[in-house]
Amino acid sequence: MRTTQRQKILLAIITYLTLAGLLFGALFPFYWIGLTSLRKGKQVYTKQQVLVPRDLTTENYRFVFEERPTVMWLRNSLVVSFISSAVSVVIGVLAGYSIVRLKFWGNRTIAKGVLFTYLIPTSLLFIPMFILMFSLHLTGGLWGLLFAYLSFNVPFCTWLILGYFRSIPEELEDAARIDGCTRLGVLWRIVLPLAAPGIVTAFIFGFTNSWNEFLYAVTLVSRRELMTLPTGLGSYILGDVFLWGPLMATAIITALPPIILFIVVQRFIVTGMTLGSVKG
Amino acid sequence: MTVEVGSRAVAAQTKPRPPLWRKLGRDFVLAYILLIPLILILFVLLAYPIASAIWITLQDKTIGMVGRFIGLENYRELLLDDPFFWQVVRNGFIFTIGSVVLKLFVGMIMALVLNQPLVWRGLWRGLLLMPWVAPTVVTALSWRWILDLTGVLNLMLRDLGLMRTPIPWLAQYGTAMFSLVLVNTWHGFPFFGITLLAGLQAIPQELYEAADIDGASVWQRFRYVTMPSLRTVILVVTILSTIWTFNDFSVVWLLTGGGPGHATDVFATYTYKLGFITSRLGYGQTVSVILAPVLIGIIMILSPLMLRGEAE
Repeated sequence: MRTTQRQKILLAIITYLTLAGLLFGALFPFYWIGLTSLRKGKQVYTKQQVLVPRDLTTENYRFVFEERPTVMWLRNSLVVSFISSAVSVVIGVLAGYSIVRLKFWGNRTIAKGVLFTYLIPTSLLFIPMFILMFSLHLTGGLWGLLFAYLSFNVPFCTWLILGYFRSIPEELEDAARIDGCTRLGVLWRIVLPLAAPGIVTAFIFGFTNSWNEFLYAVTLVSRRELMTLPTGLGSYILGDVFLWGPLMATAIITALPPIILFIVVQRFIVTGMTLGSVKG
Repeated sequence: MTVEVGSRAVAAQTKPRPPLWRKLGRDFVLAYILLIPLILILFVLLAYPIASAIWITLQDKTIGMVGRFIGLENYRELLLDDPFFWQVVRNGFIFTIGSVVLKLFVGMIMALVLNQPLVWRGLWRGLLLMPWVAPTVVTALSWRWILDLTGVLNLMLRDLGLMRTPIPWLAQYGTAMFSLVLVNTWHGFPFFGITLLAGLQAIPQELYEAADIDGASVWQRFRYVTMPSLRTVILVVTILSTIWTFNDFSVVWLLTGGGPGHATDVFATYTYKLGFITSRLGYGQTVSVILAPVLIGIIMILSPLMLRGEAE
């Protein structure tokens, strides 16, 4: 029994219906938090026609920017995410090149070590990390958080970059070396330009990893003005009063940067996701 | 290639290299210079905390105090006297298995749909990835609002005439864990979907053509061509996701805080409560360390699979 015309049409109908269902499930919460963030006070709790956008206001956004330290949180998030990710990418490029291309004793062991540490979850290490940072007097500022983020971003970025480096044909490097290029010259002139998409992907993943991180942020930072956006958000809920309007406005502000980054470089990211987790 | 031959020729003319040098490898010095930052990070920020994690469990350390060595007392107390530990273990397994199975199921549907010839496929793919792109904290708080007693889910169910009294989804025993599984699935299914999609697209078209000629139905094509080809991919994403889900903190903490009672406490939230709320860092860490063998076992299964891809 071959797939007939009727079966094909039936399959197409089922496919589009399923797609519609998935899209609704995936996107409705975004619509809902967006709507809540644009409603004011009591109106958040309206019982009539809750799904229809009407009488919208930007009052919540004004509130979170003017009467809550949202700008500080935004700044802290940007600083910590940018620096930890940039440093990790540099370390990852050096280490990745060395592991993939250079011949030395301990090569495989280090590759395994990188993978193993990439898989160790933060929930296992947050107490010793807290004790370490506390004893180094780093819990008072953003430095502790920055170092803690390096602990997961460095193995992660190294692992991703390693995969990209392997996909670059070694012959190109050999050719450059015959022409008199040094090892580091090859890395700078041949490998880096070719691996640029991979490096951008690693940076963006590292950035979002840090941007989204919550557990270390909760344990290593306690002063309100040093919080990052996720912990700032969390601080709205752990009190007794739930200000849903401002809370959802802050949620939108927190979610936007990763989403924008993702849209800009979607093509890189999708290949990166599959490369980083599933090789082969 | 030419370089290899050239260097070998030069080596043959001069005296042979000492064996130690050969054992350490051609690029030993340069390699380790490039690796210094990585190794430093691995030791200071990972190896040291891991070692101290184990050391802390042997102490009665609390926040701000120097710990005293107490041997295996923490382990004894946790396994025999702790009123909630076994419940936490059970919760952890229910949460993890429930979420991972659902994510695999929904992710597979997503992959199969996106693998069909659709109009605007790239757009749908991007939109379906959104739940995964949004920060976990945002996910958790948005769903806390959706599932609230006055939230939109209850309002919708009421307007559809499906129920009279609103349900406190997150605050009652029967539905709290179920809600957490739902939220975790919502956040994580796109990762499965996109990875499985990549796996699907790597299946040679000839296999399907051959199946067609043999008269296979849609189901048979899925069962005998698609599934076997996806085996490794499914295994790797499932295990990766199991590690992440088993260790989840933010979803549980921000939605239920482990409550009501300890009905949804998983081991990360319980560790946090013991360590930072009752301030018993040593005892809290014991929860993590005692479950670490399970985790290491899972990683041991996973890493050869991921390294095999690397070696090719």
